[in-house]
Amino acid sequence: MVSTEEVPGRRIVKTMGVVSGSTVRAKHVGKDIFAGLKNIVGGELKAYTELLGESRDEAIQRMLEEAIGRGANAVVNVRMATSAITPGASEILAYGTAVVVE
Amino acid sequence: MEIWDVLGLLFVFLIILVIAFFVFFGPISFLISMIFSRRKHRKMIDDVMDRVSSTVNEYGRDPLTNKKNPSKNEQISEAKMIQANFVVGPGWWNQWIASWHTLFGGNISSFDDVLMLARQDVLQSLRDQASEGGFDEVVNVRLESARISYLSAKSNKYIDVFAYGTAIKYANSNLSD
Repeated sequence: MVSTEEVPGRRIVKTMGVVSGSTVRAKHVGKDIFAGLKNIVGGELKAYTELLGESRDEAIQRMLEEAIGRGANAVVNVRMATSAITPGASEILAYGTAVVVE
Repeated sequence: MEIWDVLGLLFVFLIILVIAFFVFFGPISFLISMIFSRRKHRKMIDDVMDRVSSTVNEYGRDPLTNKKNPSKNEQISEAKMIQANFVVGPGWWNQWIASWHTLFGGNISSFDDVLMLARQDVLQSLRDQASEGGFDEVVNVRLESARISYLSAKSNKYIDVFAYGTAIKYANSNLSD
């Protein structure tokens, strides 16, 4: 999986179309309150960093599963998007082009 | 004195404590934020910049680029996508200042610090990952930021900064590790 248009050093044999994966996640209220307290002074909110990191991994995993299902062995031009769909939860979307490289 | 009198007094005392907590919690937290917020962010920025310069020294150049193609036209043995994110809370003081600035307009310098901290930190995480994995270069680096809100859109303005790129390793790598 790469974010460039081609896999560096390999030749693309076949394109299998766009694949995507998404996930919506929220943290439980205790962590929300703790993060709220931490935000009085500011700084890194580790609970949310972890949450979004896990969500991205999951979105990527779903995208890869779709790519494998189509018989691809690589995903190129991967892009990520984040949106806060409801207060308290955010959606992570990963998409890319599934390809077969030699 | 009856037992109920003691319990009643205790109850009144508890209620006063709870009210005092809610009355004073806001102002005291705000004061703490005013005094420590900027200092904390500056310190975190200094830490990150130290780490940045040590990695750049190790490579002899900055390994990150947002060019689409590798800088050297050599054979590549490995390519892998790497990513990092950082959620930053600006602090009450910054949020308050920012809300005032929307009235008068202008540059919100304290908010710049917060965003710069988050951006430099994610980019440094990419450099760290590249250096740990023994990669020569990270190409096609992209930065993205999103606001993640909690409960009400008005209260806290957490900002998520996310960076990703493709780490590549040349077949005849000139890195020692």
